[in-house]
Amino acid sequence: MEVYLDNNATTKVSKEVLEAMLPYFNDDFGNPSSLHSKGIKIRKIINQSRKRIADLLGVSKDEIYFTGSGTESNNWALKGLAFSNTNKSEIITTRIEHHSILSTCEFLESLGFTIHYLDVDQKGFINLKQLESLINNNTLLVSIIMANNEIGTIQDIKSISEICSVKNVHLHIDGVQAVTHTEFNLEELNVDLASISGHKFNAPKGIGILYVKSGTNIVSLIHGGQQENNLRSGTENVPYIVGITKALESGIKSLSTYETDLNSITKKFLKELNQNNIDYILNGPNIGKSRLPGNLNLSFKNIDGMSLAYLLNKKGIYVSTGSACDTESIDISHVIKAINIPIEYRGATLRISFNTSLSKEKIDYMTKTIIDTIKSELN
Amino acid sequence: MKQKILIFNSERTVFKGKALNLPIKESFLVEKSIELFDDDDPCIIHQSYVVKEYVNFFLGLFKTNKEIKGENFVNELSFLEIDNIDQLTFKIMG
Repeated sequence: MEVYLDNNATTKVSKEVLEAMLPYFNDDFGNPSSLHSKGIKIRKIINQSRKRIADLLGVSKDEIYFTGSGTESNNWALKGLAFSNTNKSEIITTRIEHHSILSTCEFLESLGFTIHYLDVDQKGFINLKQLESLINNNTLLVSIIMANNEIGTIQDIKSISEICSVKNVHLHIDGVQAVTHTEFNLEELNVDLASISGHKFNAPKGIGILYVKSGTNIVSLIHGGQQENNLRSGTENVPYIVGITKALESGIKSLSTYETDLNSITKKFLKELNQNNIDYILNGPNIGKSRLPGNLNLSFKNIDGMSLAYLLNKKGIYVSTGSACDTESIDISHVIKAINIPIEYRGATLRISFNTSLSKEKIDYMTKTIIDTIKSELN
Repeated sequence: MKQKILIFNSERTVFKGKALNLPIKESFLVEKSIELFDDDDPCIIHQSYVVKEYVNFFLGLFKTNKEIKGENFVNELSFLEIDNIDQLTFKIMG
């Protein structure tokens, strides 16, 4: 039996998304910039997709830009703003951002920008007072991961947004894990930039969105044929744009049951761990409004996490340890380091991220197998 | 995979340590990496996965026993960076 529990890494393209995309690969394949019927038809499809996404997110169609990924959106948000606003050179972010933000910040630092990294508490929340204290006349941007991909922490974006508004500082949110997994209305959130990634909510890999609030000046990173309002050149990825639109529609529609169903599954799983006297720490907030539904990040005492993940893989259970493949040594994740859990738990961290399509049979199998494997590693 | 392994012959201990630290020939690591990832220069995490594949295989040779003789598994154990496998005894400690 296979049980896929790594939905925070990526999700399956849903059947309806795939069906929506297929015609645009070889029936309606026109270039949307072409002025013949085949191209005009596709131009309309893209415009309709953009409008639909804007409606779903509570914003204007002119504020929605298609990118190739959440990573590209994050890069563009920070670099695009940094290179267009040369009078300010400080950026505030957190220690638990996705690597696409941290690496971009490192790059900007190499160009002379000053980056401030907010600390987080044991649940992964930033300190609003620390944020306020760091903002000054030279602060260009605050960039915050709305829902953390590892420990599930959902930041209080409304309060962060209020601070940034009062202080007249741009706010970017990395919404990659948040979209369709928690409430995500950009008008209500009142941010200047937001990154979205399709493959986290059943659209394919290779499509993202950057929301750019009207009046926010960013420069283009990709120059060429003037697509995306001359801000992101490159022939549009039509089937994927159609796909992300359909996926966003479906995901937002099922949000209320998504949260309830997944929180129920994760609570039951933790109850089983407790009943079997498994010694673990739940990294991040308790299951509820401030935690990504379906995300569990667990650290076990005195177990090697990569061995545990390997053994589970052999039994058809696919989870993550949060380790990255571009390092020369295997280190614990920067997020786990930042929340400062006891040393004896740091070596064995598993991220388990459920989805709503798991059958009872699969849930029972994964629960028993994970518990049995942990017990066997402890003996 | 936390098992501690003892490898010895009639004269001395050849290896004593964690299963994950068994000495594995570089050529076998590369071969397995190509088999799994089609990559002859894997990153450290993929290397670690390859090691686990060999260790998992090694532990599987014991079945329910705590000890095996190298002479019975010369081919199977050829991935180990150890000489004279046929003269060695392999033991899971504890």
